Amino acid sequence: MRKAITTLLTVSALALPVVNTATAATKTRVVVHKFSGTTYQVSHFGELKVVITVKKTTKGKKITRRITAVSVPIYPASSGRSQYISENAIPILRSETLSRQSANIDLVSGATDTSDAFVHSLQAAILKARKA
Amino acid sequence: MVAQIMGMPILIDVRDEGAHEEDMERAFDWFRWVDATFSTYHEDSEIRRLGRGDLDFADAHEHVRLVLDRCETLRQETDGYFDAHASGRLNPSGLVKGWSVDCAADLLRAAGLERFAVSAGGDMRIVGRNWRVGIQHPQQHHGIAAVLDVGDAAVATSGAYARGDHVVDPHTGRPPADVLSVTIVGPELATADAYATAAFAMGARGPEWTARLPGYEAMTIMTDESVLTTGGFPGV
Repeated sequence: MRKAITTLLTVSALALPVVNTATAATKTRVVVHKFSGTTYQVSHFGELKVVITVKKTTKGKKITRRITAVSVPIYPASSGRSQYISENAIPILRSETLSRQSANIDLVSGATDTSDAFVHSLQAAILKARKA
Repeated sequence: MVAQIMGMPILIDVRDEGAHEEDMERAFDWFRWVDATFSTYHEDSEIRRLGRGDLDFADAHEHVRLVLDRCETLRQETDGYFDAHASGRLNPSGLVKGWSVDCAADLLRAAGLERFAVSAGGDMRIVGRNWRVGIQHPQQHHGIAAVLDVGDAAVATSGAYARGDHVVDPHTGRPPADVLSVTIVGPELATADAYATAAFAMGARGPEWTARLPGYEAMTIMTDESVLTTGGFPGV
């Protein structure tokens, strides 16, 4: 029987360094938040969780959010195959996340087990970031 | 919101204004019921009981009868390339995923939502216009092969990269040669997903077969990296 592990994390700001910068014309406020995605069971390989760091810039009424870092604090590393995935795929996926942001893709069709969990955990983190 | 159900991550992305957590929870409850009823892993699911002969078709839940009837129709439509008995025992999972996503989308629409996506393991049903869907590159683990601009549509991709070679040609028992992945876009995910599985299993014959599907468009990435699309396939 397959074990489905679902750990829906509540919104948690892991770090809240706040930087205020004021320009002559309009006030610019920069806030950096960390958002953690959902923890996934990657078939039988182990668990995966994505945490993103988002820089929110408020300039007058204009708000821009940018992912400045992606980390994978929980990833499968138990067996030979999952070791391979952890060491090779995850760093690649990290850089891809940053480029996907510029591609502005809503969803991805046809992902593999690992990137599926990665994409979905990431999506969950982005959804939190969008509301914050 | 995302949850791990039916052995895969299921994502519900609602873009309507306001809070819709309760609607999404109801949709996840639906998927949990589908999992318990159609699972090939749970000993006491209706599918396992039907497979063992402990349950008669006539006594099965109406949804189970509907899905199995539809599996049979699809088997005929696809010349046997989509087959719920391909593995040697009853496994309608290939249809259950898409069908349950379609039902979840209907449930959310009935709740008044107008702009959302439901994705199960990389196959999705989209409601509302202008969604950008990336198609996973079949060879580059981190790459996107195409970006589609779609609205009110289902997108299903079948390829050799998803969970190893899990799609086999039911006529040979081997994974198909010549084709890396097939993406189908159309109104319903149940059909789009089954067509993607069948067209992929057909190998080199797949693209020609997809050109004859009314209401469904296809993109096939061949082993030589050539990309074949049907006439109405959305912007690549």
